Parts: sequence; C-alpha cells; structure tokens
Amino acid sequence: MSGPDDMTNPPRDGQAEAADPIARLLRAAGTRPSVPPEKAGRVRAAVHQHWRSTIPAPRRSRWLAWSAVPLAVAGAWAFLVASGVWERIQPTSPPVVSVGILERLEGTVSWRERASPVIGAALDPDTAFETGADGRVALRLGGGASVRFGAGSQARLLSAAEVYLEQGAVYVDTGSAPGSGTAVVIRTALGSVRDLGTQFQVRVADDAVRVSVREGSASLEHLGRSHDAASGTQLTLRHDGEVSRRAVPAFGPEWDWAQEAVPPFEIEGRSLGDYLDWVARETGLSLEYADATIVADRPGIVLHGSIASLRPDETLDAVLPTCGLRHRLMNGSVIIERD
Amino acid sequence: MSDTTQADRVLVKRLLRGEEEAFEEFFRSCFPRLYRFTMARLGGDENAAEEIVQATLCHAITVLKTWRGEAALFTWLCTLCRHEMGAYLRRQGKERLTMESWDESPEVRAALESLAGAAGSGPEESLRRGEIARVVQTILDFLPAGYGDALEWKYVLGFSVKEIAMRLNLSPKAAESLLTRAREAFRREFAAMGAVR
Repeated sequence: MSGPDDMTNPPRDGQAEAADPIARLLRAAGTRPSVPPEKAGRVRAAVHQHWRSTIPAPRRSRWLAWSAVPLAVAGAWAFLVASGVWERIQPTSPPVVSVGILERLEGTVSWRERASPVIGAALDPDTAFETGADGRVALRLGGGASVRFGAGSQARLLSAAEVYLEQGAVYVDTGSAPGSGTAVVIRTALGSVRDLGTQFQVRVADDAVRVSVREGSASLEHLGRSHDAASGTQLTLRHDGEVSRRAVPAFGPEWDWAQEAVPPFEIEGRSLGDYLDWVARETGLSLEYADATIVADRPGIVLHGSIASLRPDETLDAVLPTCGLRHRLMNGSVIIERD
Repeated sequence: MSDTTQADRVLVKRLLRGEEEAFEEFFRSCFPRLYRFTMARLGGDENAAEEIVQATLCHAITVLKTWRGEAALFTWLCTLCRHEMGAYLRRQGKERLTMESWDESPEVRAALESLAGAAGSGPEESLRRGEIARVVQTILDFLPAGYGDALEWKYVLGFSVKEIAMRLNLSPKAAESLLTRAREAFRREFAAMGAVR
C-alpha cells in the first residue's frame, strides 16, 4: 500500500488517478447512504421550528415579514379579521411558528396525522396531505407566496418557504413584484425547483418532474446542476437524469387546474383595475384595451358584489357588463371594449 | 485556530443572529452526517435515528451559546448525540454495551489493520468487506464541511473540478485547492485510524 505522502497530492491525469490509492479507496467504498427526504423534511421542520422559537429572526417581526406580501394578502387578512376567523385561530398559548395559512379547500383531501383544518387556519411545519381525484388545496406560505395543489397530489410543508412534493402538481405564485416575498423551494425526489420571482408549476409523475414557468424564471437543481427556465418554458427531468425543454404557453389547459384552486378574491369595493390585473395574473392572459378611455377609467370604477365559486376566466362575463364593458379573447390576450 | 473551527464560529454566530441562510447551511451540512453517525450505532434503526438526531439538533440549538469552539461543531454535535443515544437506550432498557459502535470495536480495528496489511492485493479487495467501506464513509463524514462531499463527487461520482467548483460556488482554482486539502485531511484521518502505515 502507498504511504501517507503518496496519498496527499492529487493525480495529474486519468491514468495516474486510476493508480491513486485515495481514489481507489473511495471508489471501492462507494457513496455514503443518503437520508430519506421525508425523514430529512420532518427533522428539518422540527429543528427549524425549535430554532425560530429559541432565536428570533433578525430585526424583522412576523408582521413586517407579512407586510411584504402583495395587496391581495392584505385583503385576505382583512377578510379574516372582519369575519372573526382570525380571532378564532389566534393562539392562546405561546405562539407556534406556522408556515402559512389555508386559503381554499375543495373536494377530497386527507390530512396526515391531524384533523382537517378550517379555512384561515395556521398550518404548522410538517403538515402533510393528499388530494383526491377532485381535491384542491390553496394556501399562503409565511413568505407571501400563493401555493396551490392539484388533484392527486401528495405534499408536505417543510417550512414557510419549502414544500416537499411527492406526487401530483403544485402551482406557485410568489407575487407580482419580483423579490417581494421569500424565495420558494419545491423539493421533489428527483430535484429541487427554486423560484426567481415567478409564477410556475411543478408536476411530479412516476417517471419525471416537469417545471412550467408562466412568468419570471425558475431554477431546477439536480445533482448539483442548475437548469434555469424562463417564462414560456417547460423543463422535464427524467429519472435517468436527462433534462429536456420545450415551449409552453402562459395560458390554456396546462394551467386551468390552478384557476380551480384560486384563493377567494373579494371584489366588493375594489377598483376595476385591481380586478382586471387579478384576472390577467390568474389566467396568464395579457390585458388589452380597445379604447384608451377605459384605461383612464380603470381606477375610478368601483365594483360591488361577489364572484365566489367562479373561475377567474368565468368572472369576466359576470363583472364586465356591470361596468358597461365586455371582452373577447384573441391570441393569448383578453381585449376589453365598450359594450 | 483551524479554518474549520473558524468557519464553524462564523456559522454559529450567524445562527445565533437568526439568519435563515445560516440555518440552511447548518442543517444541510450536519444533518446527513449526524444521521449516518447515529444509524451506524443503532444497527440501522431508522426511526430511532430520526428521533435521536432531531432531539440532538434541538438540544444543540438550545445550548448553542455554550459552544466555545474548542472542538469542531460536528464533533460537538456527535458528543451531544452520544448522550441522546445513551438516554434513548436507557429508556429502551438496553445495555450500555450495545452503544459500542463498529468503529470503536476491536474487530474493526483489526479489520483496519488487515486492510493495511493487504498491501499486495490493493485496497479494492480488502474493501469488499462492508465494515471497511463504512470506515471510509465515516471518515468522510467527519472531515471539515465540504471536504467529504468534494472527495465523493470527485472520486466516486467522477465529477470534474469545474463541476465541483460550480456546486460549491467556488472558482475552479479554489475547488482544486479544497480538493488537495480534503485529500490531506482524509489521509491524516485514515492514518490516525491505523489503516495507513
């Protein structure tokens, strides 16, 4: 066997490496056993919660962190407070650091190791659930991102910015202003997807992970390599490590399921402009106006009523006529015109 | 003070300041190694390992201010982990002897000596015994943060220096330098276990 000195310096080429004792030793030993992601996720969530309860975040209270989220969140909170839900979910004992709040629940959803939470409930780290064939879940992570899970999904909330997706589909909207919220990481068995200020979805199937980016960009990390995807791109990572990419539209069937899990949007007292911006963001359609005066009128037109239970694209037919407007769709745009 | 301890001190200060990224770095660096450390001592009991490592890390967070940096952070965590394992085994009504792990036993020491004596046949043949492979893997876990990963990527998974540099967010030159230091650290630890003479 070689002595210690021979083992210190790295080989200079492939042939030398073949005879290198350290290289041979390490190769023969093989890779170290990895930790099952679920176990890592559970322990991480528990330790993180303990760390946060022991050591507060640096000079940034929870309220300040929440204040960074988009206007829609403020609306959601206002709704919770006004409806009394917030009072009911206020902790009476020492506060548990939640990872987010539940915003919408549709169809069959099984919650692991806990009872089904009510809308507006704070969700603890390590919350895990499974959606049935008709199931949908929407929640707001502590960092401000809107996260929705489609039918047939199995997921676990690791922290206020991390989700483990075992199966199914997740849609993430980190906010209209890039960087306004904490970066979100979707972890899967094959790799992790990190948002870079964006709207994107991740779908985990038996043989692959697919990342589709609607706006901004996202990064898929696999075995130490990053694959960036800009808006309009779908990345597919297969089990054999092969990564392919193709174009994907920002609207259409690929995204429809996310509309069905959209969190409630209260239009009462909101401006037409706010409403149309919400529709555009949720549908992936661009806004165009047939008449410049409509643009000028947008902020001043105040809406009344409710659009609960309608998909964002369905609300146009209900809302626009009350404003003397109508719409038509063309090439990925929704054109607003006078009625 | 060693580079490792200095890096650990910086990490602990950041953890105590509540920096989220520091927590990620701490967990990513320590958890897998501590989990393997525990698994090896509990005969592969995954549930027990999960419980013990979680308790160890939570305890470490609680008493983090008491870490003075005399030993590397991971070594300190292993000390805490041994106490947690002892408590766990006592709760299970098991003998302390079961705590004696493979890498502390005379048999493994003999296996290491056997490996050292197998000069004519090369290391691969001796390493067919799983215990020896685990010795190598344990040494990788005890190396300073990043060293074990870098060696594994380079020599087991066949990554280029450039790829390793990308993974560690270093320049290729810095990654090469790290690999050299990692080899030296590995050689030193391996020699200290009596495997290299």
